[in-house]
Amino acid sequence: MNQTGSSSFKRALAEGSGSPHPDEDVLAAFAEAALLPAERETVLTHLSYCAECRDVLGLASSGAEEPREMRPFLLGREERRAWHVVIPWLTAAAAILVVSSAVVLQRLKTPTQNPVVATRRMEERPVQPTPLQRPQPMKQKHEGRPAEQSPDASAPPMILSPSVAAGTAASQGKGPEPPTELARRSKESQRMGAETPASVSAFANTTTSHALAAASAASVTRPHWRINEQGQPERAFGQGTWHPVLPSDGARMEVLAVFGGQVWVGGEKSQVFRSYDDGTSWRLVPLPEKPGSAHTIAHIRFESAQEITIESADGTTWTSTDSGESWK
Amino acid sequence: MLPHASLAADVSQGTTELREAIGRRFGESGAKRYGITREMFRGYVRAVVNRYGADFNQTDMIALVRSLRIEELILARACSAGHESAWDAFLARYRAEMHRAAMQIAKDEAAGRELADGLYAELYGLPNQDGRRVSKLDYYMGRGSLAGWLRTVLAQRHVDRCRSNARDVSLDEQLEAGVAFAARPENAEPATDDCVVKAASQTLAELNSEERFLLASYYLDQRTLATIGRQLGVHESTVSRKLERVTAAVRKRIRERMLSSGMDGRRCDEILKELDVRDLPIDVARNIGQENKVETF
Repeated sequence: MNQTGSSSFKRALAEGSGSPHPDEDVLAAFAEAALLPAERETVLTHLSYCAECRDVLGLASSGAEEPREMRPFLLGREERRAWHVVIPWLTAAAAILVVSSAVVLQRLKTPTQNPVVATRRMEERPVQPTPLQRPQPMKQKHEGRPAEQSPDASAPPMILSPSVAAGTAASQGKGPEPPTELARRSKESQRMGAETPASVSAFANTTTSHALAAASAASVTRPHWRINEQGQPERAFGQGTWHPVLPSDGARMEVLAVFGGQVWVGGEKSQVFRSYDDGTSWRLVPLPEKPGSAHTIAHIRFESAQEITIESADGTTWTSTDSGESWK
Repeated sequence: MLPHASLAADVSQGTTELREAIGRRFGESGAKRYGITREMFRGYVRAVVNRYGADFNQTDMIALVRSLRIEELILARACSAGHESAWDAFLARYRAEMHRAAMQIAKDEAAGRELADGLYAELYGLPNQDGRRVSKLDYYMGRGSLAGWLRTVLAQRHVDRCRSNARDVSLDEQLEAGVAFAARPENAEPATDDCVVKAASQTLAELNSEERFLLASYYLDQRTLATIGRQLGVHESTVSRKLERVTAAVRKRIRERMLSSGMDGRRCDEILKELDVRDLPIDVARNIGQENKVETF
């Protein structure tokens, strides 16, 4: 494999692994689980060190039309026989699982406090999707939110954060168009360049394409969140300064929640906004009217990426089971 | 020298079992279609065993022979030899797929077409110094599918091209484009306790290869669970579970280390609640990339 042009940082990582770069044949076989166990372990060890090979593997995987064939269809005769032995045990295990699931579901029917990602009003307290808390986002995908990226006429109007709206209006004479997430993060990264730690800069220099560079920069400049004393949500990158991200219309925001790649804020007048691009653009979440005076949103809870519950200070609740597309 | 041209004597003198294993695959290879004789076939397969399995024991060599994508390997060799019907089969099966994958990789139609056409020319073969046509297909060894190999070659080329283009951008152009260059940090105050940094650093260095791969792919490379799942040959939900397990273990280890360094339990929890390892003044990539020098847990 041609490895010319790698940065010294990447070379250092690759040298740390003590193994040569696998060729394209081996990488392809690794992705298809076609290597022998010992070979696979060697390649995995190399990949865990070598960002360059991970880039190639990732790009090659992105070019695949469909997931590869299921492993059982590739098994040899002896392995298939082994499966015949295992299947009765798997059936028994499945039966036990069904019974225990029924018991758990029965227990869940009793009213309990919702456990997941309930974010209350925070005074000057930054909120961020920390990496060690991150692995809930089963539905988080970089590529897949067509509805958000190409809004149709029926969708709620998109609200740009003040800084982006000002910049767009100044540079173009036409209507605001939200920048893509990668482009925006890349710009933010450049703006924040002076504050980037040396070690992180070295990492940022290791990327191999513009998109990969932007993605790496994004990892360096993840946003931090808070609600200030005036009830405005604010965002900061790294150790940078805090900037308001939502135009103020007099309603104080009371609660801010980060779930996977989404940011939700809620507050007075039953107002709830959500953003899929780290606060660059916002959409008003259309909550159906419910009896009572103007509600103040106090809690936003995620049972999963699909099941969301919003609760006001007076106990009124709205629930969605389709990622916030519809509410009841 | 091309990989299949180096037929070493050691493998060619393999045991009867190995020779039988190679012979058994002849029937399913479709070699006869392209006029490839049994002896030529043995040569191709031995070249693969020589390249990848020279250090293997006999059992692993046989397993290697059994695992080869033999029909695709023979198709590649037949194309490389200029067999017309082999090229017809190759184009029918892979050309559209190759262009589609190239566009997906380049994320641009024109660049994708250029990428695919460039590779196609090399697959057909470019004359070497002796005037002999050398096909890129000679380097396909049948370890994975031919389609997967083509995608990986395209990905490697795209990465190389992006890297060389990045090197071509002049400083003036970067300044014109408004690139801000990082200044030397002045009096950077250590925002985090030393023992937190040390605990995180040691814990990351202890990870095994799969754990390192998962964390690096997800947090450093920002790959999706689905992509990582495809790379590891598992479902994305499995990747999610493993990531959860690894991150929980990492947090636990960091907490244990902070406790053992004399930190109060409540303080540990407060720090861990807001801890983002990437914000610490440690080189996470390097720590993940370190050799595992301490015992794993």
